[in-house]
Amino acid sequence: MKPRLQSFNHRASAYERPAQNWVCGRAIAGRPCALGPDRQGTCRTLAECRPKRGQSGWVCTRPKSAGGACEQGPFADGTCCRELPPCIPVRSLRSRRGHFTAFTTLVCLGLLILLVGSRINTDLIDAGTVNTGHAEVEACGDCHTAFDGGPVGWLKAAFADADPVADNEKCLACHKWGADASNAHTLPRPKLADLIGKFEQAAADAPVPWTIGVSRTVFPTPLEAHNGPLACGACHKEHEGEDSDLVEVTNARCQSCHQLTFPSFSDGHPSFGDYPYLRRTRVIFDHDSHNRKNFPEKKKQGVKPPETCDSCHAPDATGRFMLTADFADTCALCHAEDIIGETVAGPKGTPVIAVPELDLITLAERGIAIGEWPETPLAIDVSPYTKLLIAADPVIAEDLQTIELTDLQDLTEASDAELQSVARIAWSIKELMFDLTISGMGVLETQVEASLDSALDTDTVGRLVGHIPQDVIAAAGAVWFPNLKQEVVAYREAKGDATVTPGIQGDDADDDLSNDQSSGTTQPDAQVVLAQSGTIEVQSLPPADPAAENDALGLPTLDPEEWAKAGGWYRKDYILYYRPVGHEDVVLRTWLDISAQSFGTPAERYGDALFQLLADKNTPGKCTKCHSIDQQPGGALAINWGTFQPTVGESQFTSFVHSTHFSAVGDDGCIACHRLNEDTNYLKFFEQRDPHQFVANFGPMKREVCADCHVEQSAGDACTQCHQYHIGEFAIEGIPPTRIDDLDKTRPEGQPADAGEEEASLDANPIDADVAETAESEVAAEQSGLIPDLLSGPEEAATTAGDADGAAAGQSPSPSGG
Amino acid sequence: MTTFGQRRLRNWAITGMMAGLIVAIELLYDMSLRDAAFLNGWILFAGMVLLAIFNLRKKLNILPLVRMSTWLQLHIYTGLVCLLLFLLHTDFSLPNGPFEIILWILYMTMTISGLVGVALSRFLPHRISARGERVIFERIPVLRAQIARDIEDLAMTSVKETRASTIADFYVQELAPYLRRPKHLIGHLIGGTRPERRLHVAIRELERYLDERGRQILVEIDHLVSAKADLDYQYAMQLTLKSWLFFHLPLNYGLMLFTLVHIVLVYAFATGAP
Repeated sequence: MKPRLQSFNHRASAYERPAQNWVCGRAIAGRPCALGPDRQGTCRTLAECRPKRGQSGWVCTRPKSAGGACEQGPFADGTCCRELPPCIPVRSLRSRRGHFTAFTTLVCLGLLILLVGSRINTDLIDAGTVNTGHAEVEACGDCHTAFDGGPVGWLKAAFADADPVADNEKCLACHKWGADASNAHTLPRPKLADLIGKFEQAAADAPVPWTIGVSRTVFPTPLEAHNGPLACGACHKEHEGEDSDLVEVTNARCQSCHQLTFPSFSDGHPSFGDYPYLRRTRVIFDHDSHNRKNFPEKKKQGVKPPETCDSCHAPDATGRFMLTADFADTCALCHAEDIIGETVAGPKGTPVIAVPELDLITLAERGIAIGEWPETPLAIDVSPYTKLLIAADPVIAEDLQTIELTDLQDLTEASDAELQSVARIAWSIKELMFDLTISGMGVLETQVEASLDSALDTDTVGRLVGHIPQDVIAAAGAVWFPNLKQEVVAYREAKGDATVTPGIQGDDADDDLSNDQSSGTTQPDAQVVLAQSGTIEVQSLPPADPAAENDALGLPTLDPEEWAKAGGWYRKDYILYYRPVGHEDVVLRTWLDISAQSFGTPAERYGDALFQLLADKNTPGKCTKCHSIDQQPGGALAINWGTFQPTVGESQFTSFVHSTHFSAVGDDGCIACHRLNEDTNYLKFFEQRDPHQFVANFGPMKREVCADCHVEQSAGDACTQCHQYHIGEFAIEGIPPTRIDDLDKTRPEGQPADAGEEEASLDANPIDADVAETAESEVAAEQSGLIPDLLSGPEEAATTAGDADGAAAGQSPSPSGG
Repeated sequence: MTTFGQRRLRNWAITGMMAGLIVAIELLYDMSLRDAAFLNGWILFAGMVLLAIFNLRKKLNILPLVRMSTWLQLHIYTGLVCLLLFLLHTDFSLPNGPFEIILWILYMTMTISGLVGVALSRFLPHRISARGERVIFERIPVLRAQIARDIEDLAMTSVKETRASTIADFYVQELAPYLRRPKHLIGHLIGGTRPERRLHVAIRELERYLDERGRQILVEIDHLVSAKADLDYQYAMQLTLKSWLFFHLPLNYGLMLFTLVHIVLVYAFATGAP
C-alpha cells in the first residue's frame, strides 16, 4: 500500500505561500525553512527555530512539520543550537511568469520602437499587397498624404481632425474623374440634387426593407454621402491582395443612399422604363416594315435580304454595344441606286448653279437692261445654291427678299422696284459666273462665308464645290452668256465699280473670257449694247443646243446626265448639276451640314431653302431618307450621319454587355429580349426633329426577362453587375508626351548617333557598300582638289571647293560630323 | 443552485446572442456606407481590454470585484466573442501587410493559447484526480525529498539487517538518480508508464537475491517508488496547468502594444472612411 504523503494537519503541515515572489532556496531540495525569504528575496533564517523564553529557560520552537522541538534545545544565551547556513532564495513560479511577461513586453516595445522608428518602417507597416492595377505605386506617400510626416506625423494625423478626402487628390492624379470626382456618382452638385429630389419624390410611399430601415435608424447615412465630398476609400478597399476586387460593393451599401429601396433585383427593382431606347435611332430604319414588306419583296426579285440579326449587327470590341455594320455591307444591296439618283424621277443631280427663266419681254418693254439672257426652255427659278452664293451683297440680299413672291417668268405685273431687283439679281448671277471663272474658289468661299456669316476652311470649300474644274464653269459661262466678260466689265464700269476684277481691266475686255472656243457660240460685240445711262439692254439669246455643241466638237450626242452616271458635275440646259457619287458623298454632306448649321441664325433665310432642297427625300442622294435630323439647342440642325457609336471615356449609369449574354438567350437569339413594338408609328416620329419624341421599333427591356437568371443564387443580382457608380464622360489617358530627340537616349552608351545605321545598312546590302565606298573616295578626292566639278560651272565649282574647304575646316572629329 | 450544465448552457446562449448582435450591427453599419472594420475594431479592442483586466483582477483579490469564477467565465466567453470579432475584422483571412500579419499571428496565438488553457483546465483536473494523491504543487519537492530520504533509510537498513549490499547498490545505481528530481514528465503527460514499469520490474528482479527481510524492505521501497512516480505525475500535470500562462500572459501585453500601434496607423492612413 502506498504511504500517504501529505498531511493537512495544521501542526504537521507547512503553510504554503505561492503568491509570494520569493521562495526558500532549500525548497528545491525538499527542505525549505518555515519562515521563508523576505519580500526583497533575502534569506532571513539563521537557525531552525527562534527559541522563546519559558519558565525554565529558553525553549525550542521548531515546528512539528520540521521535526518538532530538538533534543538539545537552545543555548543558554537563547540562540538556536541548530544553525542553518543562509540560502539563496529563488523566485516563485508566479514571479518568474511576471518577469517573463514584463521582459517580453519590453522586447515587443523595443522592437516596435526600433522598427516603426527606423528606415525599414515602410516595409513593416505596409498594409499589404495592392491590386495589380496599382502595381506602379511605389511608396506609401503616393497614396497617403499623412505618410510623409513620419512616425510623429502619423501619431498627429491619427488624432487630428483630418480632411477625409485629402487622399482623393492622390487618387485623382491618375484617375481622371473630372472636377466632380468627389461628389456622389461623380455628378455635378446641381444635377445630383436634381436626381435626389426626383428619387425622393418617387420613393415617398415606397416600402423600405426592414434591414435598411433599421440601418438608417441606428446608423444614419453620413451626410457626405449625399452632399459630398466622398472619399474614394469609402468604397474602394485597397491592400487586399493583387487580385482583390476594388469595385466590389454590396447591394445594401448602394441602398444606404438610394431612397428607392427594395430587397433584391427580382423583388422590387423598378421597371426599366424605356431602357435602352432613350432616343430615336440616328439612322432611320424601320425593322418592322423591312421585315414585313421590303425583304419579302426583294426576295421575290431575286435579291437576298439579310436573314439574321448578325447580318447587320455585331458587338463592338468591348462586347457591350451592338453596332450596325457599314452601309456597303447592309443597305447598299437595295439602296445604292437611290443615292446616285437612279430611282429619282427628275434630274439625277442637284441644281447648283442655274440661270433662272426671266420674263425678258416685259423686262425689255419696261427698259430694264440685263444684257444677254438666254431663253430658258424650263421654268427655272433662282436655285437655293445660287441665292446663297449671291446673297453676300446686302443689296442683292434685299433684292432676293423683294422678289421672294414674284413670278420671274411673268413680270407683267411686277413693280419697278421688283424689276430693278430682278435686274440686279440677273447681273449678280452673271458676275458670279464671271468671278468664279476668273478668281476660282476664293469667290465661292467669300460668298458663302458672307452669306452664312461663318468661316470656312479650304477643305470645306473643296468639299462644297466637289473640286469642280475651272473648265466646267468657264464652259457654262460661255454657253449661257457668250459675252460674259464684256458684259460684266461694261456693267461694272457703268455702275462705277473701278475694280472690275483682279487681272481684268477694261482694256482687256475684248479678250475672249472662256478660252473655250469649242462652244462654237460666237456673238458679235455689237450685240452688247451699252445704254447711255450705263445700263445694258435686254438681249435674249436662243436656247442652248447641246447637240449643236457636240456637233461642233465632232462628238456624238449624249445626255450629260447619263454621261455623269458615276457622279460628279454635269451641265444640262441652263443648270450646272452635281450628281452624287455614292454613299457618303462629301459634296452633298457638306452642303447639308452648312445649311443645317444656319438654322437659328440670320443666315437661315438662305440656308433653309437650300436645306429643304437637299433634305427632300426625293432629291438625289436621298440623304435624309435614312439620316435623321435633330434640332439642337439654339435651333441649329444636326444630321446624324452615322449610327450609334459608343463615346470613348463615357460611363453610363447602366451598363449591359451583349456578348456575355449570347450564350444565355438560347435558340431565340436576339428576340429573347428585343421584341417588336406594337406601336408601329416608328417613321412618323422622324418627321419632327426632337430625337427624344419617338417610338422605338422594339419594346423596352422587361425586368422580368433579366430576373429569370439574375437572382443571387444564379447569375447574381448585385447592383454593380449592371450599374456603374462613376457617371459621365471622362478623359482617357493619352500617350505620354515623348520627344523624338529622346530616342537617342536609348542608344547603347558610346555608340555614335549614325554609326550603327550606316554599318547596319552596309552590312545588309553589299551594293550600297560599294556605292558608299565610291562616295567616300569621291569626297576624299574632292577635298584634295583632284576632281574638277564637271557638272557645274566655274563659279559653282569654286563655291563647291569653298564649301568643301569650309566643311573640312569645320569637320567634327566625330565620325558623325563627316 | 446552478449546475455546471445550466451554467454552460446559459453562457453559451449569452455568447450566441452577443455574436448574433455583433454580426447584425456589423451588417447594419456596413449598409450605412461606413467602414465596418472601424466599428468591429473598436469593439474588439474593448473586448481585449476586458480580457486583459482579468489578470489585473487576479492581482486585486482583496477587492470584492465579483467572484473569480465569474470573472473566469466572463473571460472565456468574451474571448470567444472577441475571436468572432477578430475574424470579422480581418475578413476571415490572413492580412497582407507584415505588421498586420504579426498582429494576426499574435492574436491567433493568444487566442489558441487561451483555448488550450481552457482545455487544459477542463481535462487535466480529471487526470490529476485519477492517479495518486492530490498534493499541493509547492509541496511536491518536499514530499519528493521525504520519499528520497525514506528510501535511502530503507537501503541503509537493508545493509544493516540483511548484511547484503544488493538493495543499497541498486539504490545508488538506479534509485538515487530517479529520486533526485522529477522524471519522465512528458511521459506522464501523454499517459506513458513504461519507465515506471521498467523500474518496478528491476526492483522485483532483486527479490531472488534477497532474504525474507530484504524482500520486505524491497516491497516498501517499491511502494515508495510508486509514490514518487505519482508525485512526478502530479508535478507534470500541475506544472502544465501553470505553465501555459507563460505563453498566454506575455502574448497579451505584446498584442496590446501592437494593437495600439495598429490603431494609430489605421487612423493616420485611413483614406477618408466615414
